[in-house]
Amino acid sequence: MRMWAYTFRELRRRPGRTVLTLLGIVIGVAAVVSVSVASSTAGTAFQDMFAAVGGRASLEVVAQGQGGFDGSVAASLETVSGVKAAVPAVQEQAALLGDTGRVAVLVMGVDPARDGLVRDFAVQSGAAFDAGAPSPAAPDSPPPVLMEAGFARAQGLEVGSPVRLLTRSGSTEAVVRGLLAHRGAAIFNGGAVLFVPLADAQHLFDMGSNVNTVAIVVADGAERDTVRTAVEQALPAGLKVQTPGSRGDLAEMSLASTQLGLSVVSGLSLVAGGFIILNAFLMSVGERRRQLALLRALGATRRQVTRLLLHEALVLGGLGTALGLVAGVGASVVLTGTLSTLLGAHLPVLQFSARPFVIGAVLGPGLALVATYFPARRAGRVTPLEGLVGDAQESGGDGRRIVPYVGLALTAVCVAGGIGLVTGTIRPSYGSPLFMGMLVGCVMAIPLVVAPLSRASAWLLAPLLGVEGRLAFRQIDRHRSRTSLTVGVLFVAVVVAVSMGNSLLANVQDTADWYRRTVVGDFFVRGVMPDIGTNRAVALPENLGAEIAALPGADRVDALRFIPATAEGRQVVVLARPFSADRPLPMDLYRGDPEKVLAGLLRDEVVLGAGLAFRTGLGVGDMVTLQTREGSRQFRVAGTTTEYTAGGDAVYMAWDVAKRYLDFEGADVYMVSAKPGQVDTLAAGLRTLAARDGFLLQTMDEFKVFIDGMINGVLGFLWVLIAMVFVVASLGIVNTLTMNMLEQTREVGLLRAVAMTRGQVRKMVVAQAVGLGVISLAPGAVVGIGIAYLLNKGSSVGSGQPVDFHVQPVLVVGSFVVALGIAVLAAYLPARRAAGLRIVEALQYE
Amino acid sequence: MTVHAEMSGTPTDVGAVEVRGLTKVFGTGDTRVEALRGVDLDVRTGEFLAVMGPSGSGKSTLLHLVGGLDRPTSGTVRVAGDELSAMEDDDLTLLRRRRIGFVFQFFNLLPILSAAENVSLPLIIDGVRESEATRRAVAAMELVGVAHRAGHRPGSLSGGEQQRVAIARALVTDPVFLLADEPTGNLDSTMGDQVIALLRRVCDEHRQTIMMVTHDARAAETADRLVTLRDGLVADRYAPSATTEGAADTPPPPTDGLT
Repeated sequence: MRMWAYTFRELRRRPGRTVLTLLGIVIGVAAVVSVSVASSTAGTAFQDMFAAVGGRASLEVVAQGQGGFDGSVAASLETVSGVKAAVPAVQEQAALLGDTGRVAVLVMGVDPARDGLVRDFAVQSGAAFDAGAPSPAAPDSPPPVLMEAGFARAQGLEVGSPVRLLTRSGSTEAVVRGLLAHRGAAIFNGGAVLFVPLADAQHLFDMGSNVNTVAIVVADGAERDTVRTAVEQALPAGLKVQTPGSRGDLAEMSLASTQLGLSVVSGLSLVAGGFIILNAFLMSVGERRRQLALLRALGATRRQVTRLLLHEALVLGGLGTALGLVAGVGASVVLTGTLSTLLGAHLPVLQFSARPFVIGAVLGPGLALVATYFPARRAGRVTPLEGLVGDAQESGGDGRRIVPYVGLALTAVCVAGGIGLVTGTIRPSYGSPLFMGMLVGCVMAIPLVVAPLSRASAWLLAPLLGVEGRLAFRQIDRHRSRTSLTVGVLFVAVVVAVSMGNSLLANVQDTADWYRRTVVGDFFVRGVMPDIGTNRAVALPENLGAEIAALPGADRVDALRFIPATAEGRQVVVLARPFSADRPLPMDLYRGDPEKVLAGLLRDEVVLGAGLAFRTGLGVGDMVTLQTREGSRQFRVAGTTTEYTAGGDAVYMAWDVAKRYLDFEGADVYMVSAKPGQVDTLAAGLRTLAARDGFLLQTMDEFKVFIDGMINGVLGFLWVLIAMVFVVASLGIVNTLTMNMLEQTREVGLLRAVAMTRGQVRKMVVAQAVGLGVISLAPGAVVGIGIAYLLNKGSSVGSGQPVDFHVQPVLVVGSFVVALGIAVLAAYLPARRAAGLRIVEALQYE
Repeated sequence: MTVHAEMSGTPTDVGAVEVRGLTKVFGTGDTRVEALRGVDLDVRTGEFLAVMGPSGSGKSTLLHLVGGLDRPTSGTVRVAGDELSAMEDDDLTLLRRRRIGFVFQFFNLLPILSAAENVSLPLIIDGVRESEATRRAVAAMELVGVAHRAGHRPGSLSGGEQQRVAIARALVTDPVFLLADEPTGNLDSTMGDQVIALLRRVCDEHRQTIMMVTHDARAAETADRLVTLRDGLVADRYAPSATTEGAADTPPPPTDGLT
């Protein structure tokens, strides 16, 4: 027999505790892996998609505002040193109106004669474009379309099928010319990309002879950045050079705060997991004290006993890591799906790199070893005398007494760090480690508050629980270390629930408030639901607004356009919409007087999203530099506003001002208000128009349902995580109560012998569980609210956008109820066991 | 026998255990207890010594100190010439591992190991190759008459069998001496007699030095010598033939107890 055999048998002997420890590791590893995989999948998804569409072009020329420009600039760019090819194209959003519904698609208008320099098309069936086809295409013939084969199949299309497209020039029919293999440019957004000949695209989008993109293929051996500089110098005003992938930058910014939140969640999961392992191993050492003492008596050194425990940790760490990696992949599928819903985009297949798995593989055993270190050291210090006399001696007790004070100090340092986060002196990226440290410190310091809280709880509950409660609290008080551990497990669960829940609910509430103020109307007319990541939308014809306004029952029609732009060197979204002096400002203003802001907007001034204002250091009265079609121009900042578009990197501009300085056509959405009492009349007219032109009509309620659906997806993930932490906490309580009951076997026998009924014994056990729950609630709630406050202020600083902090009483009370409920449920098995003890055996128990 | 190969050259006049002026005090102030108040004791190689005394006389404390399980307040303990109080914890541990065998009242077998695995445990801890450890364990179990139960776990062994396994475990490392703390305390009289007879046989046939703490006068009668402790001191030393029923509580006239 080797000592490894002892390790494995010991793990098998206590399957519950082994599972508990494994769960702790699985939770920690799965959280880290899933967040890492989902973040890297989503984080670069958009950039990768746009880069794929760009083909061999490593640069592209677009207009400020991404409007149209004269395509002849391509010919002049080909003379620039280092440019192998400069190929004009059109890249626009449209809606494909199929039998299966409406789908947003990217339409690429490509020059059949020259696009081969940029992109390859692997035609699976049908035919490619004829390079020698007449240009422009005949107005009466439907434009030919190439589309990705899988996407076509999903839409019920095949070669020769008619395709109805909605663009800013209206509804048009095209025909499928060929189906493409899923590679290269055809992979965009799950295949939602159509290729049409350039001339047809210009006609579809009413661009005349203009294009909106010139793809630049850099010559072999030329440095991209050098070529970029040369091209920039050759460009007329109003045009800029960018990488094709940079069209996805806005999505990355939108994701940033979500990713920060997810990293905090994964950090907290790690702490929770580590603590659960610590709890389980300390229980194990406690239960095996006699055995470990015997090993010492038989000649095992302290180091050998310590190594034995560490071996167990490694075995569990390895197994837990393997399970955690699998669980992490599964969770990343769910999380990526949630992010897809949140962003309204088809994210690609999960992007697996070695990094998250290497981290997970190190983290699992590492977490187990770190969490087991102190229990293992404690095991090594067990004295051999315990093997003989069962005396709970242990040398080196000073270390344990110091731990709570170390925890207090750690908490103080992290709180100071949290204050630094709030004041902006510490970067938001330090948020996750600070909160983890705070949680660990609080857990370490719990023994300092257990005694007074236990007394207070005993006093509070004594009238309810009677003599059984008094006995229960005596037991809780007798084993301070064990009580502290179990309280710590529940404490972590309550803190996670209260802090994460409070923070998320506050953000959800703030988002809802923002929507209520800014999204005003009874109906919304659009091409497709917007892609929240990049704010790409299908532009609708501008004359549609006038047509809608003429409908019976229509009171007001406001157009809104999302225009990608550059402000202060940053990618931003300009929200162009009409403002009127006789209507309230449709904004959730952060800074600025509403009347003055409105007046400013009508005077060519702009309103910045609070996030953008924070990141650029601009405020009311400052000048912001925007890239327009005439070059750089400065605009006065009239105010700043809460804004969730593009992660707050947004600029509000009056419609005609935007028309003057930025090149765009069409509106992304029309917000329509009905006259009082004429909603149904207006609805009928709008439905007729929608059927005719193919646009999407939503009522305000339908829109709210859409928004709520997205939010609920994120909330659902959070509640699942919190539920998991509570479930694991309950296992920790089962562990503790079982240990307590084992130790109390003789006492229980005695109590039964002197006439305590089985029911009273059960009540005593349940009272212990309730006591543990009650003791954990107060510190859990206080620390949870504290962390929620810091999370709130920290994220406000990080985003530049304040979110009102409110304690969510329902959440706090709910966490209390759940924690107590979990505690009572967890007491069921130990209570049953204790009540079922045979009196004589119990009295003789050694 | 292989188990006692190392014993063959041990001279009988070399003391296996020497105790001089041994004291042990527990607690301070009002809770101060002098468990031992200056004990002098020699145990010769191959001797079977019984230690008796009323509860609180210090006999278990003496056993703990002699076995290196605890440290004296003052005085010295020498085991095969090595002074225990000068040793670090690791050295004491090695001493227990290689030179002392323990037999406890409640057997103290690990429930998750088989009988053979329990017996081989000290050798495994010492890094002996598994095959060699198993061979020696089987030999020890044959010596004590439980080899046929080698694969059984303690839970399926009788009390007497468990104690035999514990004795085999104590003997497997060829210890300088064997410490037995109330070895019959958890057994009925029949099994107890068998265990005592086994210890006697091991002492006689293999010149194993044994120091046994016991309340059992019948067990004490099988020893070569009886030492009685009272209030932390050696009350007297006398040969077992002078022992009568209840004599553990009534000290007989003192004699020269070293022969």
